[in-house]
Amino acid sequence: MAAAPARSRRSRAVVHLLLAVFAAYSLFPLLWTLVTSLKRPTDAVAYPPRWIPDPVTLQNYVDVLTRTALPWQILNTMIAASLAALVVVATSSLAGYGFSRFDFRGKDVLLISLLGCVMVSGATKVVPLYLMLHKAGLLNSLSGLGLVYSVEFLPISVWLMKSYVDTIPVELDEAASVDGCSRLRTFFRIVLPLSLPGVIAVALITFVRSAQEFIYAATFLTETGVKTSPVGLYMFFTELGVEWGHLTAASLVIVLPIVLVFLILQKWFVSGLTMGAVR
Amino acid sequence: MGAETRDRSASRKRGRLAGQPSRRDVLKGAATLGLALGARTAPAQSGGPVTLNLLLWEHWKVAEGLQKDDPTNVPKRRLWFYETIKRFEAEHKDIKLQYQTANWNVATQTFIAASQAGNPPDIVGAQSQDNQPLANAGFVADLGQFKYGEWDDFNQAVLREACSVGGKIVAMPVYLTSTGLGYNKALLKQAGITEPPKTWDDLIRAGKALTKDTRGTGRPNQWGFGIELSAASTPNPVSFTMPMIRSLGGAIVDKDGKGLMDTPEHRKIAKLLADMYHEHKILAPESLTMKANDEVDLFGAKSWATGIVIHALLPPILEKMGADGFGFAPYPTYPGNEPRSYSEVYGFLMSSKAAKDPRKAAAAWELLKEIGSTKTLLLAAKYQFGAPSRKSALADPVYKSDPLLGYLANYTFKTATPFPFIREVSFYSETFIEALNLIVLQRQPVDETLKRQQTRYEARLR
Amino acid sequence: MPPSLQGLDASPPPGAATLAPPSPSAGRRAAPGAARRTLTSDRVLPYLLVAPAVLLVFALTVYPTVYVLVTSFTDWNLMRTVTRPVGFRNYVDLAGDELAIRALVNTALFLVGSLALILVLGLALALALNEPVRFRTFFRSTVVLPWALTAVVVGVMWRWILIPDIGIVNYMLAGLGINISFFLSPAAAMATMILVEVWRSTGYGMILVLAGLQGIEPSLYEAARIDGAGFWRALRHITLPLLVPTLLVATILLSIRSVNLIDIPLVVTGGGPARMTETLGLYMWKESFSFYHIGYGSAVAIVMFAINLVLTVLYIRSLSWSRR
Repeated sequence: MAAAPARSRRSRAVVHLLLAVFAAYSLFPLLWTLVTSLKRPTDAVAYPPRWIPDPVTLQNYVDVLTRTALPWQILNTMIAASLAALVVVATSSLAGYGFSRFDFRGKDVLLISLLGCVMVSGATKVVPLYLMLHKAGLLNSLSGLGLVYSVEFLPISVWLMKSYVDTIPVELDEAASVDGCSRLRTFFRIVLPLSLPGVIAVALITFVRSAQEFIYAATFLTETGVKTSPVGLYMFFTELGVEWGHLTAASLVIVLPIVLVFLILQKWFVSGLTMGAVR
Repeated sequence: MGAETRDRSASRKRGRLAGQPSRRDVLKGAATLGLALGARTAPAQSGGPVTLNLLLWEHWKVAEGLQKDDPTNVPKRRLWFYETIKRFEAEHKDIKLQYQTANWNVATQTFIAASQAGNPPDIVGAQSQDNQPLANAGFVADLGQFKYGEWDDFNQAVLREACSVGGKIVAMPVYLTSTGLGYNKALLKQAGITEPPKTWDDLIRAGKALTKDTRGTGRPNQWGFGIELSAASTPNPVSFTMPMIRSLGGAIVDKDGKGLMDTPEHRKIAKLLADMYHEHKILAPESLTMKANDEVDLFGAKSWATGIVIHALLPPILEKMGADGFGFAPYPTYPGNEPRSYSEVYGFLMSSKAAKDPRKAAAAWELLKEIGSTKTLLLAAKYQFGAPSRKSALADPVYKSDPLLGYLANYTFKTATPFPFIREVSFYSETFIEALNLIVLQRQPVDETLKRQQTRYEARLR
Repeated sequence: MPPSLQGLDASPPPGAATLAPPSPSAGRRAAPGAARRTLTSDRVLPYLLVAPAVLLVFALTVYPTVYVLVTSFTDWNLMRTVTRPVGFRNYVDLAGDELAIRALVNTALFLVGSLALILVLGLALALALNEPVRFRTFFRSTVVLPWALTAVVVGVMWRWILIPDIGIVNYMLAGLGINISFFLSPAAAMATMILVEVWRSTGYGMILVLAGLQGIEPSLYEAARIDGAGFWRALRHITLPLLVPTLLVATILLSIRSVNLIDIPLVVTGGGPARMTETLGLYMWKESFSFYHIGYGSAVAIVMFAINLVLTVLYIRSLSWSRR
């Protein structure tokens, strides 16, 4: 882990100051969200605002967990996002291997066109995608949504997987083929296990970003039973103003599973993104 | 293939409905699955119950309560809808209702995408401004095709301006809510003001006494007057300024449906608002940056002492400020003019696809009649200050039971002017609000700006 | 009017073929002197390997893109019953549309402002967190946390925090005798929008840079230290040059995101005051889904696509130019 040359004590203090300031910036809105979620509805918007809720109440959490569909919506979100991550992992690892290890006609064109696909703004595709999902009978289905999400993140994932596989010495493949392994077996036996950090990174990006998507989810899922949590949050923006207590509690509840997944996997997240690094 | 898909999803939903009472019972769940599978193979369209699909706004929070048969899951202000639907279901055993929900900001888009794909819900609830695009694209049915003797009973302005497009009635109106001047009674009293201001001069005078910098920051944090003019809350601002223009005898639309913003009345109003901001310094700057419904919190936190507010927001405001803390009065006017108001109409529309299927159309029409009935109106009055859209209902004792409700009902009926039919309504709204923002915030010249924006709007009409 | 599903068989998106000097060498491990070796023996296998990903992406992207492209040559408007082909009129109108040009300028401002801040802060944070500082995991997670939040909540929370007169930030500032309106002037509103985007995406930028940093051989720093190079010299002569590919990829990803961004401008300013802070994404959204000018909105979408394409090519070119 040793990195840049050691620095003086003063520069260490600067580093810590930078980190502390930025952490405060990152946390402040979340902290205020937490504080608001622990207040009674009438206190939530009272002026002057109070830093310490008085009294502290968990009623908002009880409400959103027992009186709304939020728990189901979180489950739906997890299903759609996991499905997207699964599709992305399955296809991008194969493609990454293919793009990294082989030279074939049209390779560069394919790689560039994949990047081109990222450039088409998501919102403009709503109507045509709706038509396609309808034709395929995949409206109001989490698998349809998961598929759409996977396509949003596949191009980047293929690129990331390709550059990750690039960092695995090709000699390992050759050694395996000397041992009589077929290409595919080499992939499953050697390359895939070694690219696990890359796999985790693309899975995580897809999962986290899919779990917060709003526009597609709001348009493609209209039956109440299949909605995802970002859409469900809109329940708390009523025609009579925002229900701050419920909204803040629900926001924290839905972000919790994502944060847990992230905390567990964050170590591999960084090492999995090689980003074309020179090693 | 499309039909097959629809059948499958319909049977899936039927299965879920049948499974409702036995949610916790795994065995019954399995039986439900069997039922669902059975339903798929059964012939779909032969004399059995008709299924209607309703698209509702998510934040009504009523669909889930209806599916679970549980009124405790429905906010009180929506119980009028819950009870209406329950009444309907009890009287029409042969009609099954299913619900879809969409966030208000994508509901129209969802309906359009679904219609485009040939898969629209049968009935959709929408604010009257949305009627025009839906009707023009041919996605919703002309309700005039059904025999109905009671159209005459409705407030004709509402029916003509809010629920009709191109002379055809497309939406069944429910209850109305209207705009007026809300005021913080305590703050007015503190400033020695006994009556809510009646004229704009009164308001400016009162506003100067009410605008205060109570925290010593050099910028007031309590403002004499607020009115939603923000680009972030379109198209509300047009609704809020329309009564001011109509009170002056002006119009926001000509007889061909062309929206107007370059009229003497518009210039007068724009100048008034700009003066309130720059000369008198009583107009709350949040007016220009707020989101829709921020009024509730702005009144609640005493940032606004008076301001234009829609009476649908009264329940949460009264909850914050106490029943005696908040008053509602007509718009201020210029001397000699009658106050007008804007009335919001939420209506229910039938998709043109449903209208083509005779059994569905008949069932959907039954439901629309129930939703538009006097019974429903009285429930809406009881649960959320709903003002009547029908003349006959106004005499009902419900409106005499509560002085505020009675006041609102009569006020709405007398002053109500719904949002009229305007071509390119959203573009018109956005363009006019932009003009007001430029005039009020950036001190751009009134006449030139309105003229330029009018031209810009008209360029899109070709 | 809208094209049928036949479009599915169509070719890759326009422009793909014109990108002549192909792969950004960014994605590649370019060990000096030694060209990367590949396995060339198999002719069919590589196609089979890449087929699932490529076909899936093309299937769900090409048809919608063609649909948008075709729509952009029509006057499809939900306020009218008839839709006609209009040739290039939407594009001609767009070129003379004052608001579209303002949206373009705003997009550029937003792009440059947010990108610069995210990259600089992301780099600084990554450098700091690449060291064994105390509470490293805590800081890392904290900085990335906002990236996991739904934009709608992000926007609404920030508005609520910053709302003048009654928000918590102004409450704290009131102690200092200040009361700021964060959305009232176009400049302030744009700055606020950038502030929110930086808050949300810096963690992501940091992770990308961190990944790049971890790919740098520690022995290089060792050598530099022996040569007596301090932190800044090492940064300039080792870290930054070796990070260029990483920064390039991060720039491309963040820049495409900024150009296409809709949710943050929509919830933070709504384009206000007076449509002064509308970005292209928001402009496209308003034209298509607020005004129902779907044909015109589609033309904006195609222009956005073209901008992304041009910017990406420029980034890649500037990289190869700087390497020369």
